[in-house]
Amino acid sequence: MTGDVLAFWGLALLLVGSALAVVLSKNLFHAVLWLALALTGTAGVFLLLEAEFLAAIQLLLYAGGIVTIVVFAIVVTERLVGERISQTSRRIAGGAVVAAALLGLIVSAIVERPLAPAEPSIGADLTRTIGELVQTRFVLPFELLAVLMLAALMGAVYFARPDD
Amino acid sequence: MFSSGIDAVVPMLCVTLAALAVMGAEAFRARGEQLPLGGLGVVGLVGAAISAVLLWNRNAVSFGVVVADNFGLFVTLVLLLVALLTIMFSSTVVRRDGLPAGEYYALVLFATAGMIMMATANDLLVVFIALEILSIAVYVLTGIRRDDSRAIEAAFKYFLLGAFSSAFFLYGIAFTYGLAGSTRLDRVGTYMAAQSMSGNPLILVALGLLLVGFAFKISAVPFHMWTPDAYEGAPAVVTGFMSTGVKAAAFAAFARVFLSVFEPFSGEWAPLVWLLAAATMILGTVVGVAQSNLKRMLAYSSIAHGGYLLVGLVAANQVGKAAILFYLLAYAVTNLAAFGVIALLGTREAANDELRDYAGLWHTRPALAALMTVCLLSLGGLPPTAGFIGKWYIFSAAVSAGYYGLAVIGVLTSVVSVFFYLRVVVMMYMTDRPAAIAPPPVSAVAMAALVASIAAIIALGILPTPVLDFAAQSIATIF
Amino acid sequence: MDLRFLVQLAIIGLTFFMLINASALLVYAERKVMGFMQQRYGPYRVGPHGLLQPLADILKLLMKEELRPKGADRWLFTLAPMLAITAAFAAFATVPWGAETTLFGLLDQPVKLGAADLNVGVLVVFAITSMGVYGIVLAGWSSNSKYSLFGGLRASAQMISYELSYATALSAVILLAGSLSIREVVDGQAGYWLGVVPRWFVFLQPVGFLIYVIAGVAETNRAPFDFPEAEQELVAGYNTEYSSVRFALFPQAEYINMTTMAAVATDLYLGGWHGPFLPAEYGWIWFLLKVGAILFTYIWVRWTVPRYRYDQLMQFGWKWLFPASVVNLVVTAALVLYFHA
Repeated sequence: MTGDVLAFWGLALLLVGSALAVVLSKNLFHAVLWLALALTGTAGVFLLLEAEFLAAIQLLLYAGGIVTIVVFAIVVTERLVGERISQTSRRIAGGAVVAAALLGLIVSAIVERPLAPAEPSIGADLTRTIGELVQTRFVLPFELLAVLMLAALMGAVYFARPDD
Repeated sequence: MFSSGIDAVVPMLCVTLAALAVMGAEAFRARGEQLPLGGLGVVGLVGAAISAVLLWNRNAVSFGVVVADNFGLFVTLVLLLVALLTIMFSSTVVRRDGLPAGEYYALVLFATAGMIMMATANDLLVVFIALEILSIAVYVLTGIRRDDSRAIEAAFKYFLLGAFSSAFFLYGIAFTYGLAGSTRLDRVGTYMAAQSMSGNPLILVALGLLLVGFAFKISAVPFHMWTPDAYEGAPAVVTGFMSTGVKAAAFAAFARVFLSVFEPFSGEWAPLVWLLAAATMILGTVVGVAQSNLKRMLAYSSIAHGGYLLVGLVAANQVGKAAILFYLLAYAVTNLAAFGVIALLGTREAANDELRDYAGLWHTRPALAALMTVCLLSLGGLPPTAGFIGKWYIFSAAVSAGYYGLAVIGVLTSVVSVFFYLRVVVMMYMTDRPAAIAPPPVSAVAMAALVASIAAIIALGILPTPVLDFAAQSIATIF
Repeated sequence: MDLRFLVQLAIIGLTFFMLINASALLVYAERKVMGFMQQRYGPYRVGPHGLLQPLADILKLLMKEELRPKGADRWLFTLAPMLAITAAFAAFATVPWGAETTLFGLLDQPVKLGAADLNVGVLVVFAITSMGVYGIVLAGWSSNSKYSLFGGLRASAQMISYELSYATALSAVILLAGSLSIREVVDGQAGYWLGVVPRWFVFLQPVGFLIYVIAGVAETNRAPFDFPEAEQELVAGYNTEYSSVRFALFPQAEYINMTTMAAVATDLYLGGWHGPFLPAEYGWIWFLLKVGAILFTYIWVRWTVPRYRYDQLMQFGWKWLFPASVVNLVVTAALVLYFHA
């Protein structure tokens, strides 16, 4: 076994474990921290695929940005509610069955017809290539995201602002 | 006329710019000042409509990811009509209920922009982002009366389930990309055509996930759970907007993806959609009968109408193709007008949307009662209305494609649905009005919108041929 | 084993060792500078001129009893300081501190002075510093104490707010250099304009540098932005309930973060190891001098400027700093486009 393979399985274990912990942890705060770990693990997967840029962005935006905001939200609402909020996952058994069935389906499909490991045609500098693609091939989706963010921001501000 | 690069996005751009203009105007509005924000929106919508007409037959492609073919433009025009009518109804409602005009109109326009993008997208990534734009805007619109706990609950439910369905959709896109190596619909289509004989199970996984994502958005049973609550909790005029606009946009993308890209696999997905269509028609109708709230009743009715649209999708033959687009238009105008009437009858204190509130409406507001009657007849599919022609073509398409079962279910549920539509009519004409409720005055703009839509319903019902031809031409561009 | 590999390992070890010493030195410097600014001597008793004071501090803290409040979240309470210090060390990993060198001909191929060299080094520094807030927030949350909780809350709000300006200011430098690799950014600053003015980006980006330094102070929770621990209001903020070694790790992480901030500023704005008089082999001396100057400014500011109010901090961050950094970025982008085209 090479180092890459070992690292992959280690990361896979970490990802699955922490993802399960997100769903099963009673303590909401712990669940979010597991989520942060899962997202960090994803960054590790990107690193294994030699996509340093994606790995750094993953850490920066998800683990560093989004989860911090979620943590913030939980801490603030706990203050407001005045008690520890716990995660109530009901019907875990049913959910597990559905998830397992879906997993079985996808895994069996992949085993039967492995996806072609197509190497995307990118230049030596992945970061530069991503930058160029975002400004050419994907420029419209990129700009559309700005519209999306604007609409979302306006909605969030509308719900959050005090009555005037 | 336009620089060639961005032609296809011009309609969407017009609407987005109008939304930005509304936001800008609101930001610099003095406290207490009234601005004609709806008018700004109308300008953008009309501009978009003009550009859409100019793009007709040109098959403009922009950035390789947006294609303004006639199919997309037809749906775009329907969506612009929906948005225009919504804004015309809204002027009264916004002032009456004290809704925040800037946010309201900007969100309606953003949602419209997302819908247009979704109808003309030629790339799964763009479909997804457009879907999110319209969804986010509509979530907020659902809860725009944020002091009303029912509205907030509705918005929250809609948001959670919508986010859930987006995840399914995105997962489907990921699988499609993994298989085809591209998210562009034309490339995916080429790949699928080449793979049609291979029986690769992963294609079915991707197809299934995308199907679930779309089914959520067009509220097909069993993915409809959010619909009644969201439609009931939202202000009536918003309900009208989302029950028509969101459904039309999602259906356009649905048809584009399944009828062109996954066409080689129709043998696999058609039975699934058959089931969805049957379940949707039956549940929408049967549960609709039991409702005592008019908004909730129309929510179930619009679920059932989604089922009829799905019938058209399954029976995608020569007749069915044109029928889908015609039905989309007929349903959009009718449903919007019906929710428009409900919106205009409400007051700031009470929504007046219970069935009993309509008792004796004929005596106090004869015009509104008459207009509502036409809408309900059209929804029920009675001649001489647009709804009748739409259903006629859908069912005959089903019959000629050999789907007798679906046609029978469709006709039976239509008959049952006539019962609950007529119940409202009976209530309006043949019951005495309780003295307490006096409906508010209706603004001229809203009345004009109502009359125009009723005229359209009847015109489409009597002279459907030109529009049908148009529809047939447009959908011919995608398959 | 390959000699070059061993040398690389030694450099990593040295970087680590220097960081630890930097925090000790900073404790001493801070107390000494504060003393002089308040017209007294500062630490004087342990060793000559009190030089061994940091050592004494460490010994004292090691001897203390470790306390954990009742009702604290046991795991997170222990994890928090570890996370804080790990993130602090990790953030320095991709910061280079000297030119490539063959160690006076010892090696046939040059090695790079710095723990690791990634082509997205700037982003990695961002990413890891943004993870640093976890240590503080976890400490605040797990302590089961009001003061701690408020400290943690403030930390997360403050760091999110200032990270934006910080990152946007740095983006302008990345635009100028055309690279995300810190080493390439530094090498883009070699040479002189008109033969005298060094080609440091600080001269092209004065506004950006100012924004970076201000946001950097806020990111490291230093006065006048030290709200997470504001002692007059929150006892000691997020680390109120900590004692002994666990407590010691927090200030240590803070000092290491300061060092990282100063080192990144040196690399990206002040030309890194480039400077007059010294040959490239000795460039790291320039690097240390520049870092030292920035760190001195940090301490100087802390003991000169009083703390802001919390709402002022947020107003300043969102209404002034962030718009300024965006304008700076857009103007820089336009100029780069104009002069390159």
